[in-house]
Amino acid sequence: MSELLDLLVIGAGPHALSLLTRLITDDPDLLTERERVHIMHKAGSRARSHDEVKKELKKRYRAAEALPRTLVVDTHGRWMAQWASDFEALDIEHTRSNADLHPCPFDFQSLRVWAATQRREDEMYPMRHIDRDAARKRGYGGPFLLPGTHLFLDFCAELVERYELAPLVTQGTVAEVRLIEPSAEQPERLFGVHLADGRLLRARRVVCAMGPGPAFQGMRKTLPWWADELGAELAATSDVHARRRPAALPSSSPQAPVSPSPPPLGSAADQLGAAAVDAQPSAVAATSASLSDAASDGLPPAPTSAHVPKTASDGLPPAPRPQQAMNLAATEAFAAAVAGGATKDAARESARAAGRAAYRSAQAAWKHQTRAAADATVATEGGMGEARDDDAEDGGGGGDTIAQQQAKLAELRRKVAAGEKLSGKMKRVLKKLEEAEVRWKAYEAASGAAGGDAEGGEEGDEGEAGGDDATGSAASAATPDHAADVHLSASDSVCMPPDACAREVPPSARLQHSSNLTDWLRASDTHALLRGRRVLVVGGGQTSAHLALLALRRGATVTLTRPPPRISECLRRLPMASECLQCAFAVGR
Amino acid sequence: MCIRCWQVTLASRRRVQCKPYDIDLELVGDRRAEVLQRFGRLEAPRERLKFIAALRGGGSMSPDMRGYLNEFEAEAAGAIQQAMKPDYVTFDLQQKERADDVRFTHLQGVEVSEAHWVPAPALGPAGSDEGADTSVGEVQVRFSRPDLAEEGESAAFDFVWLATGGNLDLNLVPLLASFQAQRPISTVGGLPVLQPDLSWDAGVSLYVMGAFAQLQLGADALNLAGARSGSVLVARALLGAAAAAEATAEATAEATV
Repeated sequence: MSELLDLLVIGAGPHALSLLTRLITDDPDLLTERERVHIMHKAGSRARSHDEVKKELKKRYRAAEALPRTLVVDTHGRWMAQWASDFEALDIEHTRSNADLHPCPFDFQSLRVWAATQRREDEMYPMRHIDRDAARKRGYGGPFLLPGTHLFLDFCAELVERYELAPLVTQGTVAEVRLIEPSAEQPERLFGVHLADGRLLRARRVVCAMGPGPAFQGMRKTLPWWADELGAELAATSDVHARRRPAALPSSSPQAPVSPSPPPLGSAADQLGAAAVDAQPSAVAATSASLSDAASDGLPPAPTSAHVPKTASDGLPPAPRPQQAMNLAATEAFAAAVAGGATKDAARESARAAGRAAYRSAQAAWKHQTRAAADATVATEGGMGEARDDDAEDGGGGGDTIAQQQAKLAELRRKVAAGEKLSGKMKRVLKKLEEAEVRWKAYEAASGAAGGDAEGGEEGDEGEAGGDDATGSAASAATPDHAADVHLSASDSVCMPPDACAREVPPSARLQHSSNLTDWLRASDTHALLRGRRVLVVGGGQTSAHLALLALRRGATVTLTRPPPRISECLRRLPMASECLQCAFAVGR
Repeated sequence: MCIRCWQVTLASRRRVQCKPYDIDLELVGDRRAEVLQRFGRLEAPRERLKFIAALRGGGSMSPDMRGYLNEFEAEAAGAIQQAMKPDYVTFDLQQKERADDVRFTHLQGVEVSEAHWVPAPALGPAGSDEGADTSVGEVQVRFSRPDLAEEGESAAFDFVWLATGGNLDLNLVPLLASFQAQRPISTVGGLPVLQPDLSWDAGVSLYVMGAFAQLQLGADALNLAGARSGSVLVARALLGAAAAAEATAEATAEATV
C-alpha cells in the first residue's frame, strides 16, 4: 500500500499552480475578490511597491519541505504542458487575459514586475482596439496589456522553479476517485485515487484542478446538424479509402458520430455503384420513358454553373428548405403538444424532435434535387437506367417536385401542341422546364451507367450517405471537368486542385471540431497542408478567430461563418411560433 | 464559446461579439466586487447559470484577434464588423496593414445549410482496378440566409473546422461522474452544486476548481481570474483545516500530558 498523502492534486496547470504556491509562500494573497478589487483599484497608492514585489520574486521555497506528502498527478507529467502545447498548436501569441492575471500567489503586479526585471516588457502586447476612455467609463481602467505566451509560460516556469514544484508532479491519468469511509482501523475518511496505469494512491484530500486536458473531457461538442451528416459521409469515404491503401497520415477521429461502414459487396467500385442506385430521385425513374422522347429535341446543354442552387426555385414548387421544414414541423409539433396538455418543456422536446426529423427528411429530399442538378450538368450521354424502386421515405419531397415539374412540362407541351397561346410567363416557365429536363435526362443517363452492373443496394443512413458520394464520383469519372464546373467558389481561382492535398489528408480529417483539432495541428505539417487550401471556419468566438488566423498565416484562404441557430432559436424567430403558441394555450385552456 | 448551453443565452445571443474578454468588461474592472456580490446573492443555481450566461454572452472574439484578421480581410466585411462592436471597441482601419491578397471572408448574414463531400475526378488510369478514388475531393458547402426561402451560393472547401464550442457536462469527465455516482450532489445544467469552499459536499474534502466550479466562482471560473479566486477559496479551506488539525493535535497532546 502506498504512503498516505495529505494532498493529491489532479492536473498541473495554472489552477494547481495558483493553489500550491499559495499553500507554500510566506505571505500569500488570500484576499477575497472584494478586497482585491479594492486594492487593485487603488494601485499606486495602496498596492505594494515594485521593489517589494521584486524582492519577493527572488525568494526561493522548497515545496517538498513545505508540503510533505503532497503529489500532483498530470497526464503530461509536467507543469503547464497542455497550455504550452495549445499555445503552440493554435499559434497563440498572447493571452486574452490581461497582465494582472497569472498564478503568482504574492501580488497581482508580479508578472509585470518580472517582465521588467527580465527586460522583456516588449513581450506585453498593448490592446490596440480598445477605446480606453470608454472602457474606463465602464469601470475598466486597465491594464491594457496582454502578456505574450512565451513570457507567460516562462513566468510560470520560473514560479515552478522558485518553489521547487517540478518534483511533485507524477505522470499519470486519474481514472477514478473512490471514497474510503472511516472504519475501525482508519478513523478518517480517505480517497482512493486509481490511475489509468493501475497505480492506487490514497489521500486525505483531493483537489480536481484539471482543465479539459488532451482528451478534451467535460465538454459535449456543439455540432451543427449538417456536420453530423458530413461527418458520416467522410467517415464512410475514408473507410473505403483505408481498405484500399493505408492513409499517409494517422487520421484523427472524426467528430461527428461515425456511422459503421457498409459491409463490403465485392470491389469498392461495385459497392459504390450499388449505393448510387439508392440515391436516385424516385420520380425520375417513373417518367423516364417520356423523357427519353425529349432527348432528341436537340436542346442546348444546360449551363454548367449556377444550377446547383437554382433548380428548386425555377418558378415551381420546390421542396421546402430543410430549415423551413424544420421550423414548420417544430412549430406544429409544439402547438400540438401544448394543445394536448403537455408541459412547456415536454412540448419543446417534441418540437425539437419533430423539427429534427423534418430537417433530416427535407435535407434528404433537397439533396436529391440538388444532386440531380449538379450531376446533370456534367454527365455525358449514356444508356438509360432501368426503373428503380422508390425510396419514398427519404426521397419523397425531392421526387415529388421533379415529378410535378415534369407533369407541368407535359401539360405545357400539350397546350403548345394543341395550338394554344401561352402567356409570357408560361413561356418562360416552359423554357426553364425544358432546360431542367435536359439536366434530368443527363442525370438519369449518368446514374444509369453507374448503377448498371450493381445489384442490390445499401439501406439505411449509411447507404444513403455513401450513395451520394458515389453518385458524384461515378459522374465525375465520366467527365474530368466535373469539379471545376459544378462548384461555384469565389476562391477556386486562387486555389490548387483538391487532389494534391487530398492524398495526404484523409476525408475524415477534413471536418474537425476545434477540441480535437489541436492534436491534428501538432501532428501535421500544417504549412504544407494548408498552403493554398480553402478553409471554412464555423464559429464566432475566440477559437474561431485563432483558427482563421492560423490558416491565413499558413497561406490558406479562409471563410468564417457563424454556426446555425438551434431549434429553440428558430422557434423564437418565427412569428408563427408565437401565434401557434398563443392559440395552443388558448385551446389548452 | 465555452458556455452557452442554456436557452437564456441563446435568446440574448448576438451574431458576432467583439469584446476584450470572454466575460463582460464589468467583471474585470472596478465593478467586479459589485458584480460578484450580485452573483453571490443569487441562491438558486439556475439563476446563477443565467447570470453567468449573461456575463459571457456566448462566444466572443477579442478586438485584437479581430484586428489581426482584418489585415487579411476585404474592407466591406470589416465595415459590417464595425457595426457589431460594443462602444469601447475600436478598429483603426486606416492604419491596418493590408495583406496583398484578400484571403479572409467573414460571412455574417448567412449560415451553412448543408455540406457534402464531393469526390474529385479519378486521377488514376481509367478503368484500372482502383476505380475512382473517392478519398480525393472537396467539401461542398451551401450557404443560405436563414430568414429567406431562396438558396444562397455554394462554395467548395478543403477543410471545415468547427469552432462551435460545446456544453459542459460533469458526466463526460469519468472521474467526476464516478464520484457523483458514489456521493451524489445536485447538479444544474451539467455543473455540480459545490460547497462555498469548493468542496464536493460537507465533510468530503474533494475540491473542484476551474470550469466545473462556476456555480460558486462565477463566470470566469475557468479563466486565470478563476484560478486565482478558486485557489484562494481552496487554500483557505486547506490551511484552515491544517490549522484546525494542528490545534486538535496540540490539544490531544496537552490532554495526554
